[in-house]
Amino acid sequence: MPPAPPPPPPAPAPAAAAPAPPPVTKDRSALLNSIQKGTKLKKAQTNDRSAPIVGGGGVVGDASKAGGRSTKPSGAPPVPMPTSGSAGTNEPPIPASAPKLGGLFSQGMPKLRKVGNASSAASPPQPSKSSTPVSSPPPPPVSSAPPIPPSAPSIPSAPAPRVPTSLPQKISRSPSPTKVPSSPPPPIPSAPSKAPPLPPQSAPPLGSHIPMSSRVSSGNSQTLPPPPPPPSHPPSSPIPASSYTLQHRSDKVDDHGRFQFKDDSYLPQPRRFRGGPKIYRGSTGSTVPLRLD
Amino acid sequence: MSRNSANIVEIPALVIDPGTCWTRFGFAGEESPEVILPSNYGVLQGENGERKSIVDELQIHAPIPGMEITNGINDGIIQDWESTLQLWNRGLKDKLKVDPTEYAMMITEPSWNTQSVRQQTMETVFEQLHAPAFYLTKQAVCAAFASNKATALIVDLGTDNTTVTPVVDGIAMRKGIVKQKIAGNFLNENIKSLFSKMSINVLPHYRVARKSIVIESSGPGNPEEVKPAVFYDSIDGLTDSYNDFQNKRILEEWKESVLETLEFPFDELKASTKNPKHFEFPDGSNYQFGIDRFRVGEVLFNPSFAFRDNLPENTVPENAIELHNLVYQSILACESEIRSQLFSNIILTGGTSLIPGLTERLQFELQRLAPGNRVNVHTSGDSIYRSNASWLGGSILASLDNFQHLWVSKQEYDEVGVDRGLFVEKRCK
Repeated sequence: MPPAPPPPPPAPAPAAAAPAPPPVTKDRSALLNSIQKGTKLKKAQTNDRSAPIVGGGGVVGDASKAGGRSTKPSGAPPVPMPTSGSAGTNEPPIPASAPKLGGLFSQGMPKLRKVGNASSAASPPQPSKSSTPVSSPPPPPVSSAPPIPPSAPSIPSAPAPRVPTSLPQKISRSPSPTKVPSSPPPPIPSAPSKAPPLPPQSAPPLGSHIPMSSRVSSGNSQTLPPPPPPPSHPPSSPIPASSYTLQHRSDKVDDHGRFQFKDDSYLPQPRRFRGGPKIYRGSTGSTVPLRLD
Repeated sequence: MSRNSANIVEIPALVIDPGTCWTRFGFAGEESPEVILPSNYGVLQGENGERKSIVDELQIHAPIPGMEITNGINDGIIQDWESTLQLWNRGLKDKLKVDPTEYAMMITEPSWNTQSVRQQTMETVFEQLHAPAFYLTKQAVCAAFASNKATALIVDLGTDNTTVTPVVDGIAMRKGIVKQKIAGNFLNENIKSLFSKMSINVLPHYRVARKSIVIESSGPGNPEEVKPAVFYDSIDGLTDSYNDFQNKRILEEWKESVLETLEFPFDELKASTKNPKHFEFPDGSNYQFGIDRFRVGEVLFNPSFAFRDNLPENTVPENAIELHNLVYQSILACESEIRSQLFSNIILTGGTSLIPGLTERLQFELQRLAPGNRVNVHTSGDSIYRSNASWLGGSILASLDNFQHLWVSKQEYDEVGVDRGLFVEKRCK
């Protein structure tokens, strides 16, 4: 459809007629060239009062938000910054410094996976039923227990007798003797009788272990996978983040049941050592012995 | 000019980019302005009848009876220098914590700025701020520079106006500048009429003491419990301008989170296939917006599509045309040799250009209008650059070695005398 006549641009009052563009002098073309080449700019912390409140405003790179924020409570749950259209080429001349949430939250706040357990049905059957949703670490290695026993019983029939021998090694690693009595603590399915001797009075080291000991002492047939070596000191909730790292694995392991560790005894036994000269194969897959003479 | 270059090169520079909505302050050579303040300020009538200006980005939100919210900038051009100077002082001295006497000042201006305002800008910088050096650049030219281009067509979708400026070799082509009042504020009017069509009663943030809370149901089959919102009593004596200002925040939030434009001309069927979006109002009430959010997004490309029923009279400006036609006219006003380069270097700037789908739609419509040309609508990689594009261009320009000889020094200014208007026209192109 034919466009309507254009609205007249407001006429500024130029002293002369509209200035003609200056002839492109050497200086000017040098200037234009350097613009087209681009220049590297420094990053800056922006105190941006104009940005949307959710996830973009305030001081960039600075965690503290000025008091002004309190007068602008957010009304919109999804973060507003849309990602740019991509009809043309994107040519950011400089790297971005702003906390680009960009379109990160354009679908709304992401729903985080609850730690420790995918199935929501299994709520931690702890004696102290926490009213808060499972958001903090002490989670349910316990609730992951139920799936384990069905498979566990089939295995330990052989290694079970070895348990007592392998465990003391673990025990020696942990500095605290209180938790580990002479009898092996891990309540392996085939040895539930050994479980109760676990002294229930041992200071529950971490929230996550409370259910273990209580379950164990209740002597029910619910079996649990052998727990990692118990932590060395009384609980300080919340569990410090350092406990998640591999470095501290031996001390206070609490991996939320994500990894179902089995006792070393579950591993197959190594080959018996026979000694004598070793006969190598001639080549990959060949049965002809290698002769180098 | 060359005699100044020796001392000027050593002085660091600041860039001030005054806009209708926001004024940006920062250091040249940095990639974003460190301080962004609202251009609005409050005015309170004192007991003796004297007017007190409240230039404070926090205070203007306080519900003070009798405080009017106004703006020193009208139509993009600085009109009130007293409040503008206060704002600049606040930005520079209080926020940026610099002493203006030690910095060269790069100020941006709209492409349609008047000579008298140019002159006043220069005078303010030299005589009120006592800066040692000064330059004035057009915002459109800066936007082109921010994308490393010397020739481009800048489409600036702002608060008040949508402007299209062709920039050729770093110069804004005056004959190609077109502008119309179909921009952020026009969208706001349409959104307000949508809300009233949906019977949503919008209460601004300052009235809400506590949002309504939805307590999740305790089990399947149990309904959710809703604790209603708690409101503060309404305060007498608040001015209309203040109320409009506060309501505007909600409209801005709505635009930022919900508004979208269809990539093709509006079609109910296509719009209904897109996901609806929720919006939560300050009092906690939640509404879902489906097709309507695309309806609002359509008005830029079709002003007569507006929510006519509930719009106040004369909201749709006369002679308003579609965005793509506006762009097309601007290009047609330029010489034919330059047109293809303009078509393939279209740059969108301004906060209103951040609407999702807008870029694609403009590309589509323009390509339809000009099938023989290669149409390329560029966007910056990040939204923060889009709204700060003109500041950014100023920062780039002021930090280039090849630019340093162009600064206007205090010495030069002192020597000019009366013909300052002509002088600034000549020196600051």
